[in-house]
Amino acid sequence: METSQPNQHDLKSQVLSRIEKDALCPQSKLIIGSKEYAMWVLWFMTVLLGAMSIAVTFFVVMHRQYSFYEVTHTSFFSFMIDVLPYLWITVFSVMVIFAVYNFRHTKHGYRYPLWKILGSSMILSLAGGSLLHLAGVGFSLDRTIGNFSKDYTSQEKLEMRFWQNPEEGRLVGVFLGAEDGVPLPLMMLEDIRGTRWEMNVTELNELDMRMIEGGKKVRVIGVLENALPAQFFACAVFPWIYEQRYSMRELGELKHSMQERILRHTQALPGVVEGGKCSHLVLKGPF
Amino acid sequence: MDNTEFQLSDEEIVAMTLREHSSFGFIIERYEAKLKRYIARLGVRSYDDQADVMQEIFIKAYKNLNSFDTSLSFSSWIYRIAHNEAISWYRKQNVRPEGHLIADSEEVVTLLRSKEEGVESAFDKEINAEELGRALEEIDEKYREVLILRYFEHKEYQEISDILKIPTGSVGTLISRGKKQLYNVLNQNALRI
Repeated sequence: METSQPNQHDLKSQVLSRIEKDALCPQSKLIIGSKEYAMWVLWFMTVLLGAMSIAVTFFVVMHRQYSFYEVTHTSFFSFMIDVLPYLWITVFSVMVIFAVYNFRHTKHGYRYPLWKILGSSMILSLAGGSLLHLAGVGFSLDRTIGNFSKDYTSQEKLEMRFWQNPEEGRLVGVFLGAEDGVPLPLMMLEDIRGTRWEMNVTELNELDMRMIEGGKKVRVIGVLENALPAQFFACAVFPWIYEQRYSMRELGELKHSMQERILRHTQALPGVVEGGKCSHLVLKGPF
Repeated sequence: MDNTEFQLSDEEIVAMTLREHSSFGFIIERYEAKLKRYIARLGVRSYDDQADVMQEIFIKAYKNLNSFDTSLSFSSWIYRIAHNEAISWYRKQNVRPEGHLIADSEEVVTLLRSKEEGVESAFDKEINAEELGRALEEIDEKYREVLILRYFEHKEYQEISDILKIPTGSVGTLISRGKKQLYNVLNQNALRI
């Protein structure tokens, strides 16, 4: 089967004449280089998107950690199963698969075993995601997507849904101050649906009052007095954490002080007005 | 033609070709016989088909000359093109590859008997090249490809990795599994006889 000399010359002359006849040229280095470059860019983009989904996942998981899972779930584990952001975990998984595919299609990508490519892509996304989370990207992304898409339930939307429930003693909104002609302790609060509430602030402490005067969105727990006209008895005020950046430590402190405060009101501990409306507060719903 | 081209490395000829296309003839002369044998082993058997596939291999190699990565050997690079062309040829033809392995299989029998990849199985009967050729045609394509490159083309693991675009570790695994499958097929065939 060895090729004889005349055949060799045949092939050579056939190939060379076809090159001349069809005016074939080697593909330019620029095109070849840009294909390789495109693969690396795609790889980087997939790792970055993976990192962003991790950042949101971290934000959601860590933020949820500061809600009162002790009251709503039997353990932190069962709570996590309920609240894990499966959408973002799916996005991360898909991005990792694409990252592996893109890396494999770079010039030397085939040389590395799958587990190494998979592992390094996941580690990079996790590390990048942690950094992005620390930089607040997870928070911003979750909030921005929530603002743009009706179908996406951001943490902010979720909390709004939970806190805008006057029947269960919760409200979220901005204090507008005292209304003309209405004497303190009555103040006006406009909730997120635009309803104006006449708030009785008799039992609020100094810290609560300072927060109210700040003019920022706040969360209020208390007692619904009347739906029409809207009247609410305020027991405690907490900041709305989505309007400013908090570190994880600050969020932890907020949660702790909030738990303490709620406990004081529900169990009539010192620090609440004795015999007042807020001294034996009964919280309703999954708090 | 003088003898200068024999002293030149493949990489130097590639550089010459990029300046003057006629130098590509040296590459064709250097690789025609090797690649023709290789594609025949992969299943391109008829003379006409071989001629077509060979022409496509060299045209493709010429067109992609700038993508030749000097961190690979040129041989691995052009074998990769040949491999891809042969595979796409028999996929186009919609035929199962039938190797043409018999002529030089005696040497391969000796190689396969070695415990190089740690395969413990051994033949308890004498096999001949013809049986081996038939058995090779029966094993999975992925195993046949590596066994051909390893035992017929005498390629190193790194070269096989570059030709087939798989990790070096997988080359060892495929060779080991391929040999096991080959032993099984050979033993089954022996029982049938």
